[in-house]
Amino acid sequence: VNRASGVFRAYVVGVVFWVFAFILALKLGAVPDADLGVITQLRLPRAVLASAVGMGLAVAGAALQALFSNPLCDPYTLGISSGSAVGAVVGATLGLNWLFSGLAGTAFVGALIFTGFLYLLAARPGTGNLTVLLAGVMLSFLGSSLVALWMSVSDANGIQGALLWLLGDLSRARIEGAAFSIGVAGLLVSLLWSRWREMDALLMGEEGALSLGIDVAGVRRRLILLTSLLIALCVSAAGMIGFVGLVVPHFARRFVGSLHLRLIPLCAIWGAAAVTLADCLARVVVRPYELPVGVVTALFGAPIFLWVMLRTREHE
Amino acid sequence: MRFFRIMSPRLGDRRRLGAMVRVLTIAVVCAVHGSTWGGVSAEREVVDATGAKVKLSAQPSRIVTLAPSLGELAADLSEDEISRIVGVSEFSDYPPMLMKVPSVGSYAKFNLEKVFALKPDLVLATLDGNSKDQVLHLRELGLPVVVVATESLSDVEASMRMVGLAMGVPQRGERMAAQFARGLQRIREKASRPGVRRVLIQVGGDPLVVVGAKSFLHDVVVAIGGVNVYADSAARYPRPSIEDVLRRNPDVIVVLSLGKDEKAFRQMAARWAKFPGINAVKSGRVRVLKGDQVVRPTIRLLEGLSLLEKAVQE
Repeated sequence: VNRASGVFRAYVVGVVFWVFAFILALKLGAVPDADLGVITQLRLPRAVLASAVGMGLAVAGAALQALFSNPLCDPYTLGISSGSAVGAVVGATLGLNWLFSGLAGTAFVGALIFTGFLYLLAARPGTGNLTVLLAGVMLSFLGSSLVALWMSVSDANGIQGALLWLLGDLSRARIEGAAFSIGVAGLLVSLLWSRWREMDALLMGEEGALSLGIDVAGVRRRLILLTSLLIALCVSAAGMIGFVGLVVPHFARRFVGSLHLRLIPLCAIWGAAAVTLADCLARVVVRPYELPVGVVTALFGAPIFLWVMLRTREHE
Repeated sequence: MRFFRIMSPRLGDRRRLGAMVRVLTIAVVCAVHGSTWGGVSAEREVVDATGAKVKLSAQPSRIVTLAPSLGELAADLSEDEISRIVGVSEFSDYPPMLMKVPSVGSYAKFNLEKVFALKPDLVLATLDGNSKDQVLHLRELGLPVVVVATESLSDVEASMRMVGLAMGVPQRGERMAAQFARGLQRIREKASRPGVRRVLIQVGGDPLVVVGAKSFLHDVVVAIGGVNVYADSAARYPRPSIEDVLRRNPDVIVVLSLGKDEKAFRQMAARWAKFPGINAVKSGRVRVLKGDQVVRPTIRLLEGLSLLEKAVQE
């Protein structure tokens, strides 16, 4: 009974936090008394997109941590985001960053190429989780060196924007793109959530899951596909927003435990709330300039997380 | 069906009267609205450098400029009605009156919300520096954005005409463009003398950034009778190695000093002393040229051209 009420409280706090962040995001901005136009056409799409991205990143992080039984995994470990970084930088300099309503098309294509490679590798018979993880880390290095290579041989004009975007930027949000993103992110998150039994089995490691009769290779393929699509969507919409995917799942586990039936929705809510609040801060702390939202998530999030972690350790 | 009956000759007189009254009412309503929506009836279309057709009111009175050069251009063209400019980008410091106008952030990434909240009826943007996506975003929000190009000196001349047209003062734009063309002509005539110098224009030191063929500054070098040593570069602002500069061996190196702090640019120029093999170093023609006049594609560019001509030819 006590445990259940703790879980309930975690959810309530999450929802309240999210609603609070959302209202704040509509209320605060570069101009002090904004009219309805500013709120509905600029702040609302941003808050919706921030929620979609936060939800996606936190859930993708939780799923990857389960898949590789590695607490250090985050949405950027597998290198999918480097793929989109390459796509974004190439697109920005060639002037072909065709967009769907604020979502970077070339970034999405880049992410899909890297995803395709990982998926094929994961589908190869006899490939272990560790191989996939290492391949992902290598892809990530490959991606960042391709970005550096491209930057040194191409025109500087246009790259500045792409670089700022890479640190996390939600300013491009349009209402259609934001609605699309939250719809697709919601769908992918639900699909991942429906795999909670498989993720729970993976907590016992690859061997343990195998002895439970789980088709580890199949589970891995499906999870990689779903998380990669989710990450590709988030990164194409908002660049790389660090911290959320790594820390929100850890944070959530302290309150509801490691079982994914409860963990995944809580990650979604807390992730959405965290990025919405962070973007709100990013817009107002150095008005009229905007900070990259990734800077805010790490700058404020890391100390808070450390503080909470050390405090709970002392209580234990 | 009813509509056709109204038109038909068999229609009774009462009906015809009813139809006439209806038509009259519509006409009166239109006339009343026409007078209150005076701005709408005077609406016109301007085709900008991106080929977009931008709908504008006759005399835009809430103008936002997204680059310092555009602020300058708009201020010059608005003459004594500088209050028409309600928002400028960061570093819009000339004419000094612009420093009092609210800033919308830097040209590379301006604040969308600030621009939108100013409710501009004309936004001036440039292909050289503003983000394509941000301009697109403003258009999606329904703001009239006129984009100018400044890749060459003829682009600069055309941009003066276009800004004049967009602001509803085409004669002033025309006059400014004509003045620019005349000044340019005189400089070109003066420059056509023997002894062509090979010129490197440096705009950044660490890493080295120079002027390539796609910047109007390349045209500037040609106009004053010089040869840009990076004329073959496809990039606007290429970043070559020092060794490559040694190989190209310019006769003159001009370091363009941007912003208030000139010291950093003096240091950049001093660094070339280590390479006495370069003609420019040998003959003491490594110069620092201070001035927004040179880098801003406005009417002040004529002053900049004279300064640069002196720096290169003396």
